[in-house]
Amino acid sequence: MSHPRMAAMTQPLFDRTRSIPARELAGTSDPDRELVETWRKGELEAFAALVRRHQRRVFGLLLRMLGNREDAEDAAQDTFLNLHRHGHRFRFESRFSTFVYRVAVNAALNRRRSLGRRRTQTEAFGEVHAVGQLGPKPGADPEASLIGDRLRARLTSEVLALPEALRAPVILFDIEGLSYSEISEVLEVAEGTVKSRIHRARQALRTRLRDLVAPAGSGS
Amino acid sequence: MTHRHVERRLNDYLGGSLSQREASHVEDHVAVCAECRRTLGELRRTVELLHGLRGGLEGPDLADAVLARIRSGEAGDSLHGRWWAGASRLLAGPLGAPLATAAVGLLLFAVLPRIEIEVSVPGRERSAAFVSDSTVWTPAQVPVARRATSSPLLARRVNEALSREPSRLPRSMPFACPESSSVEPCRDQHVFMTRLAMDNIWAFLAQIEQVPEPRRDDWLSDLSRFAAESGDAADVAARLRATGDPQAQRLAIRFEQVR
Repeated sequence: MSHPRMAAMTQPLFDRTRSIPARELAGTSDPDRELVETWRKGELEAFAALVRRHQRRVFGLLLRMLGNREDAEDAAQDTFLNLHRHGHRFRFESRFSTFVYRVAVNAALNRRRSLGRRRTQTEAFGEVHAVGQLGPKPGADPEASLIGDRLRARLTSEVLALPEALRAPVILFDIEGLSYSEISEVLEVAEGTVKSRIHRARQALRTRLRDLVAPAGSGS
Repeated sequence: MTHRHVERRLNDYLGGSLSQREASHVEDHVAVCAECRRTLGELRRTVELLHGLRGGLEGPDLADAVLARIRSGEAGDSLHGRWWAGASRLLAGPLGAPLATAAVGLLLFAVLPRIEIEVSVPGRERSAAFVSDSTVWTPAQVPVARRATSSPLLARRVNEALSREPSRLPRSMPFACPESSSVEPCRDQHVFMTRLAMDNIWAFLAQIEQVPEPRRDDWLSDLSRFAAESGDAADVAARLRATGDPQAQRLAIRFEQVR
């Protein structure tokens, strides 16, 4: 569900997009460029193709940031609506996928703000398990899948428990596989800040997951 | 490179973003520092676990839903468009019918009385030409008995007219002319009543209600004849018809039939 204030809140984000300095894409062309240009000429089907291309990553990012499938789906729809609303301001100064991530992260932050403290810890715990159960692949060994489910649920829970400022960088770097510079663009912070936040997030997770990551018999 | 420096570089070392020289320093230190060795191992395992979360999430197909919302105007730039689209989605939901019914009810409740008043004064500017300080009635001066009329709708409207436009009502009128309609006071009275009918038909009806019953019929004959002569009879009749009040309909017939 779209929140009426969302556009107003995301508007400055799109305005700031114009101030991003042009970056050479190291000899690689943006794979979305053709579709983006077709969509801008008014072909809605091209936009639908872009949605299909990016929806899985957007949904995954939002699910990991929000911990709830329903909220993630709503935020994902809001992400693509905002893209369609303001996409004409994207000028290929970064990859389109980076731009999509940026809009998605802001949609997640807006969503969390609008949800406020309505969600209880109990609900969040149930949602985390639901997140963990999304992982197993068809045909996998049931026992191994069960162990994998529990591990994923535990990991997801610990990531969700991180402070907001640390959560997005570590998700984008370690799970989504973005580079420091891309995360810097997505979050609009300096690369040094991104590295520092990822470092702190990993340290926090290392402490929380000590029972899983410490060598056996270390006694920690 | 000190222990503290190395500890801060462990993440970059894992990520392969250190220079060869820096990486060698870290490796040299880790080889002799058990704490850094343990930290590096735990961080490496943490990162491996996080990498294990990559992929595996099957999300919904959003394209159709997003396109439907775009086509409904929800992705338009204007706030008005987004509100309209949001309202449309709300009305299409399970609460749509009750909400729509309530909205229509409120609208009718708020607007209907105004529509009736508008019908009674279509496009006419209010004129003070026939009002003088010496011939006005305030609502308090209007006898209550005279406010009551034969029709409930007429009664309500006349009372409204009296309370809204007291300055438009003459304090006293002869209500019937003597022998000849050419007498000046009688002509003034007819002019006043004809203009009042154009200006506020309900105030016009209120005036008629004040004419004593035994003489009302003659008075109306004089008035309708004057209106016919001045070319206003058809207009007065139309305005009387527009009120929808039965008593006004009967009066309209008199203005229509006069020649």
